[in-house]
Amino acid sequence: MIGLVLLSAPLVRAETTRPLTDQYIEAIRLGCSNALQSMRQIQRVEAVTRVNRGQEYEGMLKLVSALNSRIVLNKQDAPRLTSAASQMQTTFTKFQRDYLEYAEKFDTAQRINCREAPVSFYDALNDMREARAVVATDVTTFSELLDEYQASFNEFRGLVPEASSQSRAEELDP
Amino acid sequence: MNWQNIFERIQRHTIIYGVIAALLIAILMTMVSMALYVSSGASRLDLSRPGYENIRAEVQSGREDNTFRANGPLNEAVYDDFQDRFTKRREVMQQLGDYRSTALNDRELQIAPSE
Repeated sequence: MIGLVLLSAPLVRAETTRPLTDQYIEAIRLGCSNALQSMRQIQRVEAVTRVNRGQEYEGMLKLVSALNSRIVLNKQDAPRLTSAASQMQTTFTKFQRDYLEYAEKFDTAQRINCREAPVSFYDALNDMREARAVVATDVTTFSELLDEYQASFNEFRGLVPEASSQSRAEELDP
Repeated sequence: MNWQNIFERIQRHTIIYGVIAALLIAILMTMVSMALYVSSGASRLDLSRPGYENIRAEVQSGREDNTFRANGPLNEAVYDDFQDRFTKRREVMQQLGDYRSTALNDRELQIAPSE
């Protein structure tokens, strides 16, 4: 009996900020078919974004890694550049992992029969949004690291306007 | 039936058993490949899946930028070259989605009750 009362209680499950009312649950039930269609479209667009971002991040990591190597081969020291590049690599790995988690939660939400279980669907939708927010944070972090790299690069450029072109490879092979 | 009999039977029907063995190996390898494809997350990034035909064109062809060498001198020309490549990549990134759009809000998804 208590279980029945709990199951039929009007305030079923909270979004993070407000509880779901009967009216809200009905709105989810009525609108979820259209919502699912929109979600599928968003999923496709964001999958493309993921691929494009991944390519750009990889390209950027190769570029900064090449400059860092060149600095080392010219016997210069740039710890801030090295540190920023290392953090960028870590953030990229995290971005890849977090995106997969987001995609997984997206699939979970879409598998739920939203007409029969609107509350579960809404819970899954909220989980998915939280996972998406984590991915968005990764994007911001990567962008901030690029700012940091740029600032460190400007500083390095001011300190070392020119350095020997003799690389270690050339030293080894005179 | 002992091992000798099994061996003789296989020798008598080499082609049939060979085909069966090849099929079993192919099935096993396919299962392993699919397991790796799903568990690695590659399946979620695979835009060759059905339903992604229309959007596939929006994937940017990978711009390989390998011409900035990891060795060589450091001078103003090199710095300018690096800065140019760095800026171009940042500009491309800024044009990409950042997973912050409001498209997944209740109101956008039309699952919020009308007021």
